[in-house]
Amino acid sequence: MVDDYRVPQSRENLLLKSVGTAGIGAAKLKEGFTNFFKSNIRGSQTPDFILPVNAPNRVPVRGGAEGDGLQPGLSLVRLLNLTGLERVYRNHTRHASGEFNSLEDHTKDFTVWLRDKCQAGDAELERFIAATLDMLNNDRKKHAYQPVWAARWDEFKPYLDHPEGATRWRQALGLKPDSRPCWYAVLKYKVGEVGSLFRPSQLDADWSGYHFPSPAGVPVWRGGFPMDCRGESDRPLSEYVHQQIDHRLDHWTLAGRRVKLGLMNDPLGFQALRRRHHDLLVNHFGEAARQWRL
Amino acid sequence: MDRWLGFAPVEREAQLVRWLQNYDDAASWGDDPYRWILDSLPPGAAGADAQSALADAIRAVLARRPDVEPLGTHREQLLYNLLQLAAAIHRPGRLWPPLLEMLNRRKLAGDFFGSDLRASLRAALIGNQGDTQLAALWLRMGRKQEDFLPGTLVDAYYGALMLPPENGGPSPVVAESLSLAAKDLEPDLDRRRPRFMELLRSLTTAFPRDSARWDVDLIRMAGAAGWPRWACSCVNAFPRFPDPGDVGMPTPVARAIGSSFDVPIKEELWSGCLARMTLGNGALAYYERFRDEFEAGLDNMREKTKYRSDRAWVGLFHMTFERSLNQKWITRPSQIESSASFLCPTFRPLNPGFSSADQSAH
Repeated sequence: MVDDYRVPQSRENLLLKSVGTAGIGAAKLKEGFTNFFKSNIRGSQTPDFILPVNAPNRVPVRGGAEGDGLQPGLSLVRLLNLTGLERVYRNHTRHASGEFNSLEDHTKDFTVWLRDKCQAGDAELERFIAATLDMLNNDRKKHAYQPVWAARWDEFKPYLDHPEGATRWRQALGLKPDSRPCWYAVLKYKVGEVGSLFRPSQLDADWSGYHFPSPAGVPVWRGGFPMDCRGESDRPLSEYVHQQIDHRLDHWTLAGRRVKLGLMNDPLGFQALRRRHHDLLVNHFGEAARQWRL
Repeated sequence: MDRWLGFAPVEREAQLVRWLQNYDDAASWGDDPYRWILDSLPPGAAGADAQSALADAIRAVLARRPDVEPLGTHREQLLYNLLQLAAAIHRPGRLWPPLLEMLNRRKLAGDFFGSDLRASLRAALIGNQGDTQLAALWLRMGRKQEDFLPGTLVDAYYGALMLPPENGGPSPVVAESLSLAAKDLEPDLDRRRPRFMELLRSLTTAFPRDSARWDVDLIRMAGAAGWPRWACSCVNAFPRFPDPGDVGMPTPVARAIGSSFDVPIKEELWSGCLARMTLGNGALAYYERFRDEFEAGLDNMREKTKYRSDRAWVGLFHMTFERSLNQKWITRPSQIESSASFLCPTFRPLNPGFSSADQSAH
């Protein structure tokens, strides 16, 4: 972790202060790191990545006629994991839309409930997504859940109509396999809407081996590079993190009103995936990228 | 800002109008009120929320047509700060329609301490373009034919750069704007290369791609839009193409390789300024040696001698090419022309009598 050039000294100091520097076994390191992630990133309304300690990873966004940076009109894509929202849905069963009322019955099978919602007709699905986004917009002000991971829409677009649907979406964006299939909604929004955008580092990715460091020497505005969980990509996508933001229904409609079920059966094992991704980075960015450990 | 966000919309608008005229909290700041407001924004998503609220308030003020109806006690100060604030906030969904209406009324006039208010409108329009309606205006400005909004070639280029992206890339107008800018960017010819490179950097950072892809895209963009050939010194003249073994190079190098290794030119680029070839081992070794030597020379020139002009680039290229022949990195072909035949019509040396009419021809 401390060898990751993307982790600034100031953030490294915060981590070391939290987990300690001596007498740490693997289990204690994992526990300390996970706790640090929960307090400083996941549950924080001002996560470390937006603070000055993370300034080197801030992706500049062009402001009108001044400075360099990403064009704010560029589109981002986010996969919203609806299956992962079970607890949030159950906490909002009295939402004004009435969409989640039936979850008041705690014995209701969430998987079946969500499947019925996602496989409903167009109008019903739109109502459900609108209610879900409204629920999240309200919930984020009380319960932080950071960060949001986003990729470039234009880079992700070729995957949208892949025959394996959401399974391929998840794989392309490097989302680690869950213990169950997940329903994903696709959201499309502008760089200029997120406030601030950042290149992710391992510190923002929890205790996850599915996050792979991006090689040194790559400009910050290229972001990170998600590990393709299918191992087939011939060019790395760019990925970024930002805080939770308000999503509007048109973020979903502009993305093609997509909601699909993603499966978790990846063709390659974890180590093979990391090797493939490492090879891709070396092939793409040159020998400097070979220095990273597998 | 937190207190302001707690106001009702009407109160927010009224307070904003007062702040923008340097009243209340903004009075003690000592700088333009719009800067004080921007500096008061929180980081991250809270800042995005605050910007949306500000955009709503700005839209409400613009709806009162402050360019034609009296508003506030310090009209010019209010308009200047209002438009500068709008320029710094990218919210085309809220701000594009009222800004476009103000432009189409063509009534905005006056200045605030020497700053033309129409220049502030231009800045606000650049940052909040919701569609491509202004593409023609930016080209008009680049041709110095725009009769309402003031602006330079560079302003026109930034206007084009901020047009809504097309398929994740820049608007096609950008290539032509760069062409217009390159033709008349800088009266001091020793400064035009670094200034044009700044414009290219703003393009490549606005739309991130792999550097190898941008290298090729810029060359194709230049060829299609007819950028002046001196601008060849501003791009990577030795690009790598996606096809295995395919590389680009200045045409004299391509011809030398072609003669020595019997490799044909696969594609002429940028009106013959550069060429693309598929190279095997021997030719590739020469190419890489030439490229590395030239790039090391460029680095040295930039770091040590501080020479950054296109003339210096040409001189370095000429020296590297001659050295490659004289030191027999490559067999001197019997019928190869000097690099001067490539350079002379392309990179005319500086000359005090070099008139602007001559420049535009190249």
